Amino acid sequence: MSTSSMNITPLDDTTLAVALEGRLDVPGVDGVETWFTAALVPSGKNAIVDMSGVEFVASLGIRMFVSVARALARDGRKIALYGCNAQVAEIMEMADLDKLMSVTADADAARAALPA
Amino acid sequence: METHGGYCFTTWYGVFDREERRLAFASGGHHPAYLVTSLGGAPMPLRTRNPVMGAMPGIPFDASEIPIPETCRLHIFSDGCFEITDRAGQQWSLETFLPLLTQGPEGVEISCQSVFEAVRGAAQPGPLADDFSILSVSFR
Repeated sequence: MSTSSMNITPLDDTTLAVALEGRLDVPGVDGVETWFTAALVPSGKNAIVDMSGVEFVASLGIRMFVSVARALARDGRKIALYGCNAQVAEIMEMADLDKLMSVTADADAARAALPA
Repeated sequence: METHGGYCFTTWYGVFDREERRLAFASGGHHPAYLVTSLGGAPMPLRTRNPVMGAMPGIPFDASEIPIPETCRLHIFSDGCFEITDRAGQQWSLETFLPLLTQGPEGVEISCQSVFEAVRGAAQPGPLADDFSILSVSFR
């Protein structure tokens, strides 16, 4: 059974807003990865991701973000995560992905980290 | 990643020079390894900031080096050792796990088995959510 869920809203012509919830462990990633990738990669848009509802990110979750960030970067797009709880922020910091994606405190900072 | 099934991995790598008693190390997207010495105190994190392997091919990786004291033990372990949900429903973190590396009756010579049993005893019943892999290296 999936332990995660996802909601996507277009913010404007260039940016999607994604809200993830739950645990990005093995069943959680299984539950959202296909939708997350399909919504973001072909969209032609940047994305900000609200992580405030995410309780935990396992290594498979890191892989999901890396994979999407690399796909967006191929045509100059970017993904920015925000609102991570302390433990998720520590996991993201350990993965050292700041050269690939931004991890910020709030939505405004996440939008500011995207290409103009 | 594209040539490896979309996968990436984290790593911790070290080379010990026995004559100079120095440990050179580097990590990629991995939490630190920890050095526990007979002098006591908190385990010393050994990590260099580099991304997950495969995420950014071609970038240079930072390495570091430290002298190794006379009596100490290096613990290298997977995230499955500490990313558990305990019987109270609380998610563990590194901070929760690290005291297990110094609180054994054997002191520096704490065994991997005792660390496993402590985690197994704290975790919810059933199989652990991830692999429990730990390498504990003693320097004498």
